Amino acid sequence: MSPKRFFFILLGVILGLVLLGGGGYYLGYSKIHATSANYSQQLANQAATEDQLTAITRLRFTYTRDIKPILPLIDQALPRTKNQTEILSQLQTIAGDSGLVLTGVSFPNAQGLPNNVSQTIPSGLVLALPINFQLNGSYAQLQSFLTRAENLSRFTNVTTLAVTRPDKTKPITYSMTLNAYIMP
Amino acid sequence: MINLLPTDLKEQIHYAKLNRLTLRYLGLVVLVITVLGIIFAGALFYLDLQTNQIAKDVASKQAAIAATAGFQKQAKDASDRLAAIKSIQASQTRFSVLLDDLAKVLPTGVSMDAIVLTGNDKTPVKLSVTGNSYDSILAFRESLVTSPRISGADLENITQSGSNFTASVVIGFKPGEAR
Repeated sequence: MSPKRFFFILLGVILGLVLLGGGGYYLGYSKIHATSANYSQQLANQAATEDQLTAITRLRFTYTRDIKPILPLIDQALPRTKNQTEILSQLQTIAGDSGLVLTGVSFPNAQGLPNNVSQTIPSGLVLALPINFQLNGSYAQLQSFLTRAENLSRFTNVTTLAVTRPDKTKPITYSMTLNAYIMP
Repeated sequence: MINLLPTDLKEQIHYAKLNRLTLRYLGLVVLVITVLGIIFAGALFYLDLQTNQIAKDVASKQAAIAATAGFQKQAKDASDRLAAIKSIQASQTRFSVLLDDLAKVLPTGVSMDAIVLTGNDKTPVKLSVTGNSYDSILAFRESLVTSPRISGADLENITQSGSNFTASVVIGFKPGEAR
């Protein structure tokens, strides 16, 4: 082979290698770029899961220390079922303790099959079981009853209170609607 | 010195010299490509290794988080219940206090016959009272407006019934004071 021909072959080889190297560099650079982006993403995921795990650990500690002991109180204050007889019994007790006479109680008409939340109505974040009842007694006894009703272990709210005294010889009649709250 | 070599031979010698230089460049190119290749391969290997290790770590942490799903549900339930309790407390009526405040503005000789409380401060509340004199009814109306809860009081009627006087009064509560 003549030196001239060999020179052109060498030039071709160099050119080919430069082109191949350039292409390889581009591909390699792209691959490194993609891999490092993936690496950064994984690092971010790692930090996020680490934070989440730390937050859960802290939450578990706080929950065990502060919330778990008061869970029975929370369930009592906001039961999962309507506990109809329990609330009626409580009303009867506080009426008696206050000196009032409970003359009648009514609930909304049952719609469909009875269950733990039947007869309730939505009230914000919870369900409310409206209880209409009538009481007889003095004004001071009503005050006592209301104070006790407002401090029941279960959350209740007197939504309407109608006071009537048709005749001074008869006791004052109080008609109330009390919402007992439920959160299933 | 006169170069008497034939032109063709002179050209071949020239290319032979060039070839020596070109071969050096070729070696340099091969060296650069090899070094770059090693660097790229090493970097890729290292990044892949690190990425895989982190992915394993993330997977194990996510499994640990998933294992707390039951606890998270419990905590969310407790949180929802506490939020609900807070909202109930915020809207709870205190009619015992309200009635006490109303009783404070009842002058001597005036008693309440009827009232309907709903906790709504946007609607007027009708009161029926009995007083032992005409003046006691007027005093009651004047006393009502001094209550910090009441925004206004309108007398609707005063009727004499035997020795007593009955009156109907409409009152309005100040915002947030009807509960």
